[in-house]
Amino acid sequence: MSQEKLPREIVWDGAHLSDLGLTCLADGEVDILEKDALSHAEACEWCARRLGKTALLAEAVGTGVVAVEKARPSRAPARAAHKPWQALFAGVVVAMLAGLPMLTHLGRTTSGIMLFFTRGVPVLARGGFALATSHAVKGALPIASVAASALLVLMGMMIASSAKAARARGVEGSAS
Amino acid sequence: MISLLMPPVATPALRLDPRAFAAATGDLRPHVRAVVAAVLGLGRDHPDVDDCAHEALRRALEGRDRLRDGEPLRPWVTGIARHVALDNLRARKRQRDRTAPVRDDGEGNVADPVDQLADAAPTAFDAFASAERRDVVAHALSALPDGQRKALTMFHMEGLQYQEIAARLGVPLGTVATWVMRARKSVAAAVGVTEES
Repeated sequence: MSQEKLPREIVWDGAHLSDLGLTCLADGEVDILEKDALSHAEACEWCARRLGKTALLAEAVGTGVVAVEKARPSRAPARAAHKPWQALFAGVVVAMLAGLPMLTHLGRTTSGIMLFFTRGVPVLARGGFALATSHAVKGALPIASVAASALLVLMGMMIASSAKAARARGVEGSAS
Repeated sequence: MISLLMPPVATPALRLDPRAFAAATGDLRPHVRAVVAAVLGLGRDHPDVDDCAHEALRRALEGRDRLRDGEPLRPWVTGIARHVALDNLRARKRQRDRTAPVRDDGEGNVADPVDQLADAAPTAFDAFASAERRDVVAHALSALPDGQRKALTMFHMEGLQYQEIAARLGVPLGTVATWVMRARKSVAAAVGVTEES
């Protein structure tokens, strides 16, 4: 690659280096600057101070950009997202094949299912209704509602806390 | 003087050869001194700056195994220099707290720069490191003009040099340099950070 140099008028700002010139130096783009730019940055206290700050800013912004780009979902996982459906379909097919031998017992299974719906379900429904309308359960319903609400709030707090911790870990990992 | 042929990224050969690595990072000494001086708020000839620069380069040499292949050398060394300088600042602040616990600033005396910089110096980096700021950075990046965003992400994410970016985007070298500078300043401003932070 040819060693193209940047025009002096954008690298220098009067007797000192311009912000652009310092940015190039901070990014290690030494070979696109004339040598006097580098020697000036080493000799001039003011430009050296600005170079240090520019380098710190470059590092900070670079860290932020890398963290954002790493957190951004890439295209590859998006394509891979179709694969679970294929795996699910294959699983269903295998399950159906595995269930084929049961077809020989289909008549007995069907009568058992019918029996469940004609006798078992009504018995369960009556029992559930009796339980729900009993005095003891009616008294406990408000307490159960409060307990369920508290449980939901607790679960929400736990999920928020773990999500925050996971995000913090992600940032630490990308920064290290 | 920084060598024009210095490898910009880590390679297995560079990591395995302490002399080559020391030479490569040694070329960064002026850069490291500038970073340390900026963090400490001192002149580059101050003994503390010299000590910190030496310590940063020593730590870089010792920790070269942590570098990943293809990882740019300069930001990595810059990060080490920043850490070393901040450690020095904190040590100076502790020392000062021990020796001069009472500060008389009621008579117009200006507070010592050490006390100010100890709090201010890490701000720029910490602002970008927090998880909350990541959303701000993401928004700032998406708000950038297309060319600026591409140039900045190509430089920081792909580790491309300006000339490679210019070739890929089909724009002059000076345009790439301007895009990177402006994009960086825009993102920094969105996070509330300036070069004076």
